[in-house]
Amino acid sequence: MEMVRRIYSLTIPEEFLLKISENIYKFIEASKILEYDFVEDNVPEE
Amino acid sequence: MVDLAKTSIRGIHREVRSLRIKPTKIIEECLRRIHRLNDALRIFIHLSEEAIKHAEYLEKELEEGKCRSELHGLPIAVKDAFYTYDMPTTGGSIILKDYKPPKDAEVVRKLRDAGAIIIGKTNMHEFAFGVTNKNPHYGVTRNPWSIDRISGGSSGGSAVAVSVGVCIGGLGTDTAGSIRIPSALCGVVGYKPSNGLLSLDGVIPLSHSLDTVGPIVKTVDDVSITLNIMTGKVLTSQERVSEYEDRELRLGLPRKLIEEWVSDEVEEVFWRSIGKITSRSNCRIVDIEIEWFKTISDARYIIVLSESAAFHLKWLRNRWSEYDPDVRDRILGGLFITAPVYIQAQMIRKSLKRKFLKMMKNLDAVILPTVPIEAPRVEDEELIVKNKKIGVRRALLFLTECFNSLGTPAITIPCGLTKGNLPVGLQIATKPYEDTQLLEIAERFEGVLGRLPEPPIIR
Repeated sequence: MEMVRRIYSLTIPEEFLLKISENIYKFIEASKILEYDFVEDNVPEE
Repeated sequence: MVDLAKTSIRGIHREVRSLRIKPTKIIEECLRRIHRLNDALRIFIHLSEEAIKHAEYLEKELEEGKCRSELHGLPIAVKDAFYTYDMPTTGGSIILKDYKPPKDAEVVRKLRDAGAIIIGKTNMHEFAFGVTNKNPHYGVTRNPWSIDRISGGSSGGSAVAVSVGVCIGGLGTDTAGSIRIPSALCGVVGYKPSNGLLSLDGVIPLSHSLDTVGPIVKTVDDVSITLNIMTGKVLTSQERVSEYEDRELRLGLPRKLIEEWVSDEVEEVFWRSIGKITSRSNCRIVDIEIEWFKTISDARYIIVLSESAAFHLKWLRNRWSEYDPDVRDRILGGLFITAPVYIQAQMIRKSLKRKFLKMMKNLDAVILPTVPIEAPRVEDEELIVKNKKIGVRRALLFLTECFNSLGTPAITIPCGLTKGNLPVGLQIATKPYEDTQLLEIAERFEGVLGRLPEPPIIR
């Protein structure tokens, strides 16, 4: 988290950012968007 | 004196052109009404100090026989996300409270060139990142149909301004439903054009790949007039030969989604409207299933968070405490989305657009309610819909957001009032860049459904 604060030059408290990052990672996990199947895109249309 | 809440652009234009009604009188009447209502409804953040002067100038042009367009001498309210050279542009924030843009946004300039008078800058959800218009800095924009309820947002001020007749039209932005949601809840017509149709130059961005701008007005014909002016093209005209005159319209209807997620109050009005449309116009309902509804919503959220974080980084560094905490927390979330996740979300968007186009091959339009619930009360955070708990924000944008990701045009037209006397909007969407066809269909349905009365606060 210290690295994130440094890269973005943030002054926001670390524990606050931790809470936000946790929520986002939970959202990404629950959304399953990383498991999306693109197979159908490669099926030629009739 | 004419009441702008009861007329349309074409209706009042005839009177203004012939100087039976003078632009100065219209502006004076609007300012009187604004002063009566603004404290209660929180419609405007700034009012133009030049509006009367502009009206005098445009009136003189009419006396000399010059009429620029149907909007000549008519007042337009502009969401405070658009640059205006003569008024600050706050984006509904404190961070930009003193920001004076060097120029007008391109669409604002086109409206002014066409003779429109920018009467003021309207209240909005901070930085357009929200759909309730509960703004901690400029007040909660309230619904003119019931003052203890929200207008919806983020273009809430513009929708209320049109609804109570303090302008003939408003400008809004729409990234997930911000034009259509408040328009539906306030009983007016709101139009989100195809992505890219209208210029975003001079508009504070929320999410550059999803943002659109568009009009909030009283009738579908008013949409056509303002759209023609803002695009600089004749997309629609009264002389145009109808594409659908002699053939049956095929309307896709996501029945299962509506039955599962739309409140009983809204469903009742919606099905009644569908009954009227099918019995009085040549169309056929085709049940469709949009099984990817949640996926496109999740992808959109990832995209908005990432793109808004990139834009706001300069203020997140040192001015983070000046944001509405709710807005700030979501923007900050974008800093933790990695590039592969963002790219995956954009690829999903593309993939689902392909699926949508495939589904639309045998359809002319998709039709559904604009918002699944009545305008929520100001204090509501969660609601129960069909025995399911749902957050107000999620409920409000549930049926609008997918059309931003797909890039299609979408319109909301009023379709009736619930038993609680609150407006319900009917949403229609077509394929991307079929804006002309969409307006034609919407005008046909508007003819069947009729107009709503004025909201009780001005009766």
